[in-house]
Amino acid sequence: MGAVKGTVSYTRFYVWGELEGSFQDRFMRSIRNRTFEPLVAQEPDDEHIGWCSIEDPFDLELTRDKVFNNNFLNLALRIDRWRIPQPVFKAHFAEAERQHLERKGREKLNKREKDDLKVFINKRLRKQVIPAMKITDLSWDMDGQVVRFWNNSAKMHERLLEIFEKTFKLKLVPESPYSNAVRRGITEKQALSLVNLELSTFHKRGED
Amino acid sequence: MDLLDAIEAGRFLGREFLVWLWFESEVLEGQFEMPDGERFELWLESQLTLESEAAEQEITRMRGAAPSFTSEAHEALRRGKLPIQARIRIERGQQAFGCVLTAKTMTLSSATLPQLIKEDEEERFYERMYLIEELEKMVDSLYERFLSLRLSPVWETQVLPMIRRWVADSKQADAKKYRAAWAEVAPIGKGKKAGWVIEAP
Repeated sequence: MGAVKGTVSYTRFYVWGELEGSFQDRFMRSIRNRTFEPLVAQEPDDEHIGWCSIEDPFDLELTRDKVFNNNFLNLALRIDRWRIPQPVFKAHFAEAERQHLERKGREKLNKREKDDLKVFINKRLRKQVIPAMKITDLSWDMDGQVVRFWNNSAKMHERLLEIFEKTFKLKLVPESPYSNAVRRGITEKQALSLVNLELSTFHKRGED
Repeated sequence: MDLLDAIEAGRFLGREFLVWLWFESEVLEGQFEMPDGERFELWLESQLTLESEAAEQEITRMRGAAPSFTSEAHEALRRGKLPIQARIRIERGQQAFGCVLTAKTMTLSSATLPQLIKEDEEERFYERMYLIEELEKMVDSLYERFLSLRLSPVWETQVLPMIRRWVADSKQADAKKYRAAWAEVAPIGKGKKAGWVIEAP
């Protein structure tokens, strides 16, 4: 959340690469290929990631008019994950294990049987829970070549970098003092100077 | 040099930027000017976090009306702690902006913007983005100003000694001398612009 309403906390990313030709159709095809697909309890995946509408995370019918607003490309990154509380899982597993052993007349399950039972319990419990959903707005100013991503966590940034590059075949440079300096237009010589500078000492040594 | 290495190598600039912003807002009494001549007022307010360079665990977190003006904040600077996060407030005409600036990443968070006036949802989005860009423009212009100073010999010869005197005693800031030092500072970017990858000379 954030691009449309809510808290204004975000990270800027700079787009590395040029937009060539009529990119809108190409982008729409790539976005549709990476549109979010809901999790299914019977499938083994623990998590799904993909794009959804910035207006409504349940709107997965992404069309050009929902994505492009003048010079902005607006999407939301949706990540759904099954989250079964550990104590609940453990309790169900212990009960199933007890019944299984009783049926087989044995004292212990081997590793493979335990793994199979875990998968079975997971599938059964997934039918009773709703996946945890994480939505993060993204707004790409295509004139300024700036992407604003409404999340400041490094982990989420990694997820964004991966899916953005796969979708748009363009790299993102995260905001930082150095990348901002490049965007401000420092020269090659100044860039070399910057990375070789050292932190200034502002206090009198011996007082720290 | 690899871009990620350059990003890591330049992280410290964010902390220096916050020290300079703190210093300049006190010396110039919060009066700033954009390259196009537009003026605004800026000061550090309500939230300030300082961290020791020697020991990363030594953190001073301050909240209140104006923590940067307190003796505790100046004492932390004297002891070698540097700001890693600060809330800034900018007033431009009737408009008030605010945000928390994180030194390491230069990200803006918990920003406050002037009240939106558009009714239509789509128009509100454009208005919101416009105000965000205006806030960024002001912060970026300050950063550019800081870079031009930091990359100039004037930083070592004149400005850094002035900041050190101000750290030792905040009453020791001479606005006249500081303004005069700027006469020798050239704007950044006169020459071939840097790309994302630094080419070895």
